[in-house]
Amino acid sequence: MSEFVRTTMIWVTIAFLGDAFVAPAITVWEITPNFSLIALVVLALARGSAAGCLGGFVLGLVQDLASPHLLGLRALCKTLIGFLAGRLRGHLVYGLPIVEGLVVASAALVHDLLFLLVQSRLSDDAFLGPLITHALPGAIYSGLVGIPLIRLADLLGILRQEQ
Amino acid sequence: MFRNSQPSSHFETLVLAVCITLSVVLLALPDSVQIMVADRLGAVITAPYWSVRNFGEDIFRVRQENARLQARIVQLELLEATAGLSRHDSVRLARHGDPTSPYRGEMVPCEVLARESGRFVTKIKIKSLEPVIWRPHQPVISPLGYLGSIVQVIDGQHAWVELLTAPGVALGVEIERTGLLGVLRPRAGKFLLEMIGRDEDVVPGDRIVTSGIAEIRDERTGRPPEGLVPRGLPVGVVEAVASPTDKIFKEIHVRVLTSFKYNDAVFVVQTSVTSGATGPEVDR
Repeated sequence: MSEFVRTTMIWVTIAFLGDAFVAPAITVWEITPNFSLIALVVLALARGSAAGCLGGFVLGLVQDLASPHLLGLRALCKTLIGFLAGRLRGHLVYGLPIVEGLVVASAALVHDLLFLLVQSRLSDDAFLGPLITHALPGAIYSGLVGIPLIRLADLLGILRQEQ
Repeated sequence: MFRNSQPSSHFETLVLAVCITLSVVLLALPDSVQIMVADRLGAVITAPYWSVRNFGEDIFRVRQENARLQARIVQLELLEATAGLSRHDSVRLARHGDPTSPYRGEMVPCEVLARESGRFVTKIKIKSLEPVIWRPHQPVISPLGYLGSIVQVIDGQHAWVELLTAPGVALGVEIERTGLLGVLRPRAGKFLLEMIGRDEDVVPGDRIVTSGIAEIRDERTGRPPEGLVPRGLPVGVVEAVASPTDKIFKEIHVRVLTSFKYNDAVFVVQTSVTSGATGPEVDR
């Protein structure tokens, strides 16, 4: 099976099955891990910035279509996250759970920060509240959930391909 | 292990610029146009995904739905059966007063999680789909008939059920056709209906249902738990009848309707019989 097909299958599976079926089952106090972002990080680490941008744009657009208010915002945020995560490719110490967890948690936090900045139109109530109550714990949760998934992707050999 | 960094190529920058431009263009559209664009794009991009996801969720839920529907069917069948029983006994009950109360409760669908390992399976562990208030000795039935009773409550959703096959279990039953009361006990892999006089009218094929008069004693009050086992739950069918000359009771072998070997879904009978409905204390 080609690397491209294997990578695509893994990140699409994480994104769609994770968000659709796993996330509702492991929600704790309304805090849910962001599986689409974990999948995006896996894709970007595996294939680089260009794939990260495209994957992030598509994932974000699919999510935007479900709630068309501010259409394009999630696509924009995920495009940037995909690009930035892709730039980390080759710079990471693979095999350290703390590093993988931090990458996912940072990506989730930056994504939510960008999203809330635009969505809140810089009003304190709409920005700080959700940032503290949802974005921060959600980022930590995503980081924790992301560790085994990135370990799995690494074990499957999609993170250490020839560059 | 550190990997060598790769410089950002022009291609990556181009892809980034295109994606950002598209996103910003979409974001800059007026609200009404955004909704229209989302609608058109959604019909192509996300409609198949939502179809698959909804299908998956339907499959995920179908087992629970199925259990609830089975519970409803069993409930309605029991209501119908006990209504017929009441009609059949109306003359007799009018003379002597109604000592029991027919089934008026609800069914709680449960999934069978485990069986107590051993040579003879006597207990099963069940899990209800929703939290319920269990009570020890609540009857548990399968779609075919009486299965056992709650023996140990674990938590709001889990409990152990003692099966009718367990040694020492005795169930108050009656013969549906005649209203004769008896006690059903397991004996060496078979079921015997006891305490029915040798001259009574019992023939093979007679249906056995619960009498509503429980054998179980509440240790604190010394009274049978009120309305715990409703009358009319199907139990079995008379298989063979003998009247030995040296005994005052018949020897009645009963074929129990339910299977004790495998049960996918069972139902805990939540009775809603009010106090006093169980009638007199019966010491058999």
